[in-house]
Amino acid sequence: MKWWHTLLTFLLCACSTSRLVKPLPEKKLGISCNMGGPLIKFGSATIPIPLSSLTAAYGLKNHTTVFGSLHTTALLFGVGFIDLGMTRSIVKPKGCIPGFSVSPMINLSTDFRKFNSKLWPQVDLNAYWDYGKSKNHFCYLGFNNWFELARKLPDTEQKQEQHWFLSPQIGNTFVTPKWRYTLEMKWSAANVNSSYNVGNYIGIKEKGAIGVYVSIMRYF
Amino acid sequence: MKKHILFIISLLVLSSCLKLDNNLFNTQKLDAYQLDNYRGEQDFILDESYKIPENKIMLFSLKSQTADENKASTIYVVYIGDTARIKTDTVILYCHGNKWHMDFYWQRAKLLANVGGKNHYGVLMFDYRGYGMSEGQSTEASLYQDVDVAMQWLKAQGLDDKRLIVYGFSLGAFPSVELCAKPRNMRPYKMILEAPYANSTAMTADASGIALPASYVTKLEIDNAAKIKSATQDLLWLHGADDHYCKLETQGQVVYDNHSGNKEKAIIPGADHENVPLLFGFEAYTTRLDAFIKKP
Repeated sequence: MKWWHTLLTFLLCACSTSRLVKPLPEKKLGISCNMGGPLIKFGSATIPIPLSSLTAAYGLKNHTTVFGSLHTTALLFGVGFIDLGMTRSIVKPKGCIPGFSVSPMINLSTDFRKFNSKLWPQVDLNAYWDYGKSKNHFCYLGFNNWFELARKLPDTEQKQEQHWFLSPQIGNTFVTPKWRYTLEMKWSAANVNSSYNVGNYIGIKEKGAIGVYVSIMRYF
Repeated sequence: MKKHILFIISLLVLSSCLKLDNNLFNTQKLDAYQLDNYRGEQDFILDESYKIPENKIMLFSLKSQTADENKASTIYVVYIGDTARIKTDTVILYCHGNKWHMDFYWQRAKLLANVGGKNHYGVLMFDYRGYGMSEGQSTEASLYQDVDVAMQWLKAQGLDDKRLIVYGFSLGAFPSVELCAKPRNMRPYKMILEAPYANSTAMTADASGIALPASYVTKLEIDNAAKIKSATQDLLWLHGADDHYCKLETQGQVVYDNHSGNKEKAIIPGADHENVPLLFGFEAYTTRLDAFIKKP
């Protein structure tokens, strides 16, 4: 039954990069391709599950960006999965004091066979530091909170035990006038015991799964 | 640019039939069965005292065909015991798990052939479609059909319902529960379930952590938790307390709780998915099974 456990995480949004940590400049459009996933032991190698998504983001104001994403790997499995949200800068960085941003979002999904639909709210909180000669880098530290609202498993009387999934993340973004390149490491579902999940995840003390993600954004 | 985008979208939509269903069946092909001579990976290996005399082992094949199939598939079956005594013996029909083939499960079948003493009960084990030497590819419908074909053969040898015990391990619990709840050619008298999954929803939830509809990843409607409500056979449930594949609380316990008839359980401390008989202790395991089968 190993298959079930290993491949399922493609649906989890916690298994993608933070959508946006730092808002885009006003009226700037960005399209990004995101790849990566939790690390698993695959034979003798350790590899990330190759999850993918596409994101479009638009800077409404200098401090607010709206975005939407399509989870392309989920689509291959006949599941339409999108997320919609916004990133707002709540504190601007100053010297060694980091900037802070918050990204509330909703994740919506439906399968194309039975049209079972789901909604999961999510909130990302991040602190970021600009650095580099022309401040063309920023690194960030934050956490993603994913909420499961259902009290029962679909079509059953069985109880849904876990309602909050906490995923700390750390990453770095390199910014050029046309591009943003992001590398992120995330500890997905760090508050959840993953020892009973045989996906061969690389967790910490039998909790969650460590993942590696990359994102490349082009400005328009 | 527009054309490219349309092409990519079409490709994704057309490809959207990927499901994990076939991965449920972890098959391995064999050219011949080795049984006692099998040297591949096994959950445990019994000592000589459990050896079955060669004249009590019969390997043969049966034809299995579901209602919507045009052609029958050959499935391979092993009977441990004296086929001439099926008219009077009690028989354990062993539905194995999702891994590989009967060689892998041979030690388990031998252990069952030692319940109540050597060859006290007959044991019938078979490979589902695609497993070992059996032809074809397993589906949910073919699982049920293959088990029913095995029952038909037992019935043809003179077995009656009151002497049929069905034993389902892991994946094998799905056809076991199905044919206890909705009998076809035979109605099993009692059922033994080792590490049964509740349903595809619970499997999906255990894997993802969230309340994900099973339809996102599978077309399978497998549901022991619901079907067992219609099964009136006495139930013995065995489960490892540390089962990492099939969680005791979210899977086996749900099945057990939903069964409304006579039932008993044995939760084995420290046991994982594959070593319940080993950690139970072979003698304790066979004694417990014998007591359950003989219980009026």
